Amino acid sequence: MSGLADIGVRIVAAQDGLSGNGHALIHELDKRLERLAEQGATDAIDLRGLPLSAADLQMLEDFLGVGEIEARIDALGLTRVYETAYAGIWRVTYYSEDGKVVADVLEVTRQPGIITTPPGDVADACGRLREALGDLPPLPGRSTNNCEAS
Amino acid sequence: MNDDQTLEQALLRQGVSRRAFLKYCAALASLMAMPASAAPALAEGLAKARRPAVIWLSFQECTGCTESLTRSFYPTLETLIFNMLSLDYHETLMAAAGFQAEAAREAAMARNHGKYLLVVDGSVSTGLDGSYSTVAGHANVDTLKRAAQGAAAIVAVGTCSSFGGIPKANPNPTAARPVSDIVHDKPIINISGCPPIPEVITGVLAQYLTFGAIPELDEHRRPRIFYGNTIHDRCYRRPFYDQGKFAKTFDDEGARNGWCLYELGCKGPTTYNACATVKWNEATSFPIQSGHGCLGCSEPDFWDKGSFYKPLSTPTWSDRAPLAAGAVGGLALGVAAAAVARHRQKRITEEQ
Amino acid sequence: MDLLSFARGPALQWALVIFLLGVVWRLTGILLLGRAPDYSEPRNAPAWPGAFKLILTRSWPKREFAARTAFGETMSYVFHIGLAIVVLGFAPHILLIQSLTGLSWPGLPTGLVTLSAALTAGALAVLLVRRLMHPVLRLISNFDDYFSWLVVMLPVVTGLMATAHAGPRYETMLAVHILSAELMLAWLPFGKLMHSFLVFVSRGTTGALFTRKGAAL
Repeated sequence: MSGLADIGVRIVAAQDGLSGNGHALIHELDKRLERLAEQGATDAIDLRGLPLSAADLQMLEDFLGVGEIEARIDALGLTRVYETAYAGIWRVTYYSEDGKVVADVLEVTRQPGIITTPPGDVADACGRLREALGDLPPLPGRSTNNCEAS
Repeated sequence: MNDDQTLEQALLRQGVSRRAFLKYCAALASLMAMPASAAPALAEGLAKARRPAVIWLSFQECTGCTESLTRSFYPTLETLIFNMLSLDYHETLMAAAGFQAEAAREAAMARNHGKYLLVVDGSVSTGLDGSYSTVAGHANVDTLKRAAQGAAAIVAVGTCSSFGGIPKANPNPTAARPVSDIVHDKPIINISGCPPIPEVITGVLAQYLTFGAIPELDEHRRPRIFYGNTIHDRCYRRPFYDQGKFAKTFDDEGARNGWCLYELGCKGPTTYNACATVKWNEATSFPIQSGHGCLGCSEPDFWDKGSFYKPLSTPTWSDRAPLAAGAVGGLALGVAAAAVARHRQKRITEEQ
Repeated sequence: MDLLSFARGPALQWALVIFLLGVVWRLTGILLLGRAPDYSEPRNAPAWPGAFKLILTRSWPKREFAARTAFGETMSYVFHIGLAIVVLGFAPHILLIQSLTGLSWPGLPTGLVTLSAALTAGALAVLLVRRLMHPVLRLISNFDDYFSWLVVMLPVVTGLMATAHAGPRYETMLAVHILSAELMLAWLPFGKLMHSFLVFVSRGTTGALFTRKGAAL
């Protein structure tokens, strides 16, 4: 009954070959890693801003491998961070609250910013810690610590 | 709402952490095609930014622009209106109505005089003193002029407010005009498109908020960051154009193979927008990817530039009578010229 | 109305009307011209094979003058063939011809067309320099020669610029390109560009006349 079969749609296989952009990116990483080693200069490359095919991305992932550290940050959705087998090159993938990738970045740094504790948070935490400490029943004969002394 | 709070303070109060904020900035940088290394600077700028009051006016429009806006994937409309902006007046999105709504607008305009961002969708009717389109008894054109006085900048969302759009299409019965024809003394950003890409609307608003300044604009006052390239130049079907491979009808072999739609009237070569890169519906697709040529909806007067289905290199007219008249006229002139020449020849021969 | 709509709309229509009017006027005017009666005994009859012979022989350098004319003729051929490839091989141009006449044929890849256009522009530039430097050529050149050169060169250059995204924005450049081609169309019947219709007519007439008189072709 359906006339859909008569519509001559042809499914063309996606062009998933290597475009060469993955290789170019690795050369780029090489240069930036050198700058990090010699001058301590950090850098970042937005993977979604580059025309990378699925094969390119897979090649890149396989080439860079997985290093010693992986972190998951739960803030407005998940963020997955791991150091590649090449120390100083980090992959940071940001997901939205419904699990879609909103940014995918290779960071050349000793420590991605998203992992580092924001200075403002330290100050806030100090205040909150003191508040919480105030709620603890004090041990006999001791006074409480004072954050502001540091 | 406390308008003196910085964005960071406001977000923290709402339980959004600094890391979440940093993450948001990374996504924003990616969307705006900024280098990923700019994200920390963006975060720093945004943290210090103050949430601007936004007044959104809808004139002669179909609400397609607002419909589009509500589908923004990142930043979402919720993020935008709850965290980044103070959307003080939007007829479609606000709960208030009638006198209460009008009072809210007046109050917001007075409180933020000289500082608020005025967003306009829809064209401005100027016919019959603007009486073709009124809200609460006021002509749109008067409302716009009044609201523009206290605005820091105006964002024209959609082709109607940017260029007049479909209401301005020939014969333009309501004498519809773009915002830039009415207001001359304020910075105007045009976000054209019918409708504009949702991420482009939110992206431009977020960018204004971040840098507190008008982005770099093209000759039609559109942000170059999104309107810097033609659809054709960023189209994934471009290689087929260069190879001379075209779909000749919407169901032929070429169409099935996904070849270039130039011959079917695609206006991609003369249309500046981000459809081919940002795409639509969470980057799912865009018209050309779905098999239809670009209509050029983000360009001025796209409705009156000839058929959507006629190739760009062909005439906009189809009446060939003037051409036939030219040929017939030429024939008459030629015959007359030959007759005169023969007559003269004959006379010269006789004289000899 | 923006420039592109003007170029594709009224400007194109007017250019074509002027083109058709001029071409038909001049062709009928010339073809219907009376000829003085020739009472002499023809040396050869019929004379018309000579028409075709001269069309062919004059399309190639004469051996005696080859050394002097080869360069100019080569350049002329480069630009004529290049121009034909560009005009008849570029898909958007074919679409224009199809929309006007209904005739259509497959197009060539953009790269090939661009290369042809560049060669055409180069050859045209060389020919202008030659015209300006050659004392005899310069002496016999008038406004018609230079203006005809200009209206042919303009569409080639503006077309290349539009393709390369050079100069103003693409839609403006495209409009300028179309307008320049329209200028060429409107000028064609009234200047030396009319040779595109008359070259074989005049050459054939000369050939037939020579044959009748028994002159060597």
